[in-house]
Amino acid sequence: MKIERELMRGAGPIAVMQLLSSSEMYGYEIVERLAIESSGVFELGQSTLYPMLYNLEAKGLVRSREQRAENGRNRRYYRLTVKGNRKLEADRKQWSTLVEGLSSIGVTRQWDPLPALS
Amino acid sequence: MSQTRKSKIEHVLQPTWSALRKPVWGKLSWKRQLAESRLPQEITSIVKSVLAACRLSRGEKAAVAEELLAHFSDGLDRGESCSKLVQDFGDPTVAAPLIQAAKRRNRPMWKKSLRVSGYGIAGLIAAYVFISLWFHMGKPTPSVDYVTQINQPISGVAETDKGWPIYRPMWIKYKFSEGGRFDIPEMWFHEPDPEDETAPTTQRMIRQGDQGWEEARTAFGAHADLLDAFRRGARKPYFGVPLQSDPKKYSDEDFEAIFPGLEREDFNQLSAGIAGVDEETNELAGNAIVMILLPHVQVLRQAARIFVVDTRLAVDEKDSERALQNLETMLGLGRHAAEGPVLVCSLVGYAIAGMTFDQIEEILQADPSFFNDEQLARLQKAVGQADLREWLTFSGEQMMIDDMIQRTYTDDGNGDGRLTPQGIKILMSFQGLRRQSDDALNQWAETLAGPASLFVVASRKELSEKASQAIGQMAEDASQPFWQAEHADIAAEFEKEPLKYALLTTILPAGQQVRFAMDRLLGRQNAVRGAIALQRDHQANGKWPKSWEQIPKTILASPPIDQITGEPLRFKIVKDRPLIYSVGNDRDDDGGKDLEWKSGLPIPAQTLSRAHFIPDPTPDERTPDGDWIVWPQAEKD
Repeated sequence: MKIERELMRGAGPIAVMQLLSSSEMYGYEIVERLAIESSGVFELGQSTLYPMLYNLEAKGLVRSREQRAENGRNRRYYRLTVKGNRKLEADRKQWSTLVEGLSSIGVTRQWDPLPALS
Repeated sequence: MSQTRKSKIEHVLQPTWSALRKPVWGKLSWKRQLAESRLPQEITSIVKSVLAACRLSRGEKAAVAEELLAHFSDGLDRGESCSKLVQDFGDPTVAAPLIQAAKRRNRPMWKKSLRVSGYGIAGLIAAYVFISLWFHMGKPTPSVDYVTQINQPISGVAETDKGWPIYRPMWIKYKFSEGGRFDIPEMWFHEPDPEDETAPTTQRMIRQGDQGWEEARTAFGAHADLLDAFRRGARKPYFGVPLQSDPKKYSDEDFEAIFPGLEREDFNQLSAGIAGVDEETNELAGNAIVMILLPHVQVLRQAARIFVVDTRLAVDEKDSERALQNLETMLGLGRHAAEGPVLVCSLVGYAIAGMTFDQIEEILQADPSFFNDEQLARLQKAVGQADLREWLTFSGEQMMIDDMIQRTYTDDGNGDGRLTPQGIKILMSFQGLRRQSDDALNQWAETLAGPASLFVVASRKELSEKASQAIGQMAEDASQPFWQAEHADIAAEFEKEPLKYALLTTILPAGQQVRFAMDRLLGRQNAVRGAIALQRDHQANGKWPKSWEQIPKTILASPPIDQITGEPLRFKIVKDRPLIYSVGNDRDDDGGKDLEWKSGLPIPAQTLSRAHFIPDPTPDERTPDGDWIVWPQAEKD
């Protein structure tokens, strides 16, 4: 299922931060993991991943370092900072509240099929 | 080299190299990175498209290139096809601005500040260049002939009412004025220091009893025609010399009389003496009315000194009529000197009047009966007719400022304008800020700093308005009796911003000083009239009156006014001579005790300042005690 851009704009960074909260990762690895772990929901346009990472880095939420990979190229690894962790925690609460709210009004409830009109 | 040692060196060098490699590599070329990436052309093209559209530094582009190349390389390593990776990456035209914005946001603070500062500095430089061009395009366009205006008061006066046509032949004969350095050497007495014979002598005007007195009498006899010309000329209501900023414009006769030691060729190079400026600027400055030479006014003071000595000779010869004529002549010379509507003329006039009052005092103190009643009445009338308040006018100062403004500012036709490069040169020169010896330095300073003056110096309109306001206020203040005037320190407002109002700060303080000189002299004039009246009453009755009111109105119409308080001056008789005094600014009658500091130290009369005149509502230890003795007070020579 393709998520609309506006929704993804809000959810993308928290998804990336969530991934990075477990371990540091490089760009392609993030793309790969997001696609697999979200069952394709977070199949990010890769051209938007890097600006997102740079923005998170600019805000001090992630930090990067370079390391030479087996293929001889320099990879840039990203990891969550303490500030990023706090932000992730706060965002997580907000998202929970939002989902609960959406659920309580039935947006995220499993809909029963409407009875057929006789 | 052992392996361990080598690895230690590498351990030190590696991080250093890593730190340097990135920027150096990046600066070399991100395109080279693409070329050396060994990735398919399809991939390098998309990376190239992204980077080409990003406006980032070469180092930033190199970092992005490296990361994107690693990204695609990782994808290929995972077995993805080239076209799939390119498709998944998305539109490079969308990626480029996002990457650019994010990377810029990611710049360190110092870099961001540097960038903003750079833009700011570039903007300022651009603005300054623009302002400089605008500034250097400005030119003054003088349109009002202030030389004609300043001569307006005498332009319609008949020659028979002018003293100048009478003085002039004698000035030519004796080379009396500028360059002629006329002097009667015998009129000077060189007083040796009684305690040190080797010390330089003090020069003062000769008196009866001095060595050389008879030689002086002979020398003055040889100059009888000069003195006679002054006596006749000084009776005329007007001096009548035209004022010219360009000395070449004087008539042949006037030029010969005023500049006897000079030729017209000496003024061929009309110059305000501003070094290293173009002829146009020099002419602008040279034709300003502030450049008017006033040698003929200044030398009237020398003429007055001649009459001081001749009066002493007349007293010695018991020639009271000649002495009286001399005193009348001196007052006429003062009036003529003050005719020019500029402050320096007023000052010269006041100096001559002061010398006259000194001389009257000297005679009456030494020999009260030297003049008969008729002569005293004439003298009293002559002193009273000297309209000292009329001698002070600020119209010339107003014209000087207006003229200087039109020579230093542009004119937008609506009374406004901006300072010009030529104006800067003229003002700096007049303020003594221009180094005569360093043209290159002047040029640089004026070229670079000149445009900044637009932010510092008042505009033409503002300066004109402030000048009119200040001079108007000063003239209004000077027209009030001293005890009623506000005595506002008009110059103080402008002295707070000396650069902004450079023209005013040089002229206004002088105006206040001349105003004080006038008030002080008015005080003396009142006392002299009072002293003559006391003497006349004494000669008539053989005793001194006890009050001004006891003197008949025919001798003294009204009591002489204390210039500080506005009330009648006080007097008392000391050693058979009148002592006339003002109670001073503390308004406390100390019985004619001379002014002294609270500490008891005397205050010499010549050091009296405006502060001693202006009423002091809160006297403290700095307030002088005593009275201002107005008669006798002559400062000898």
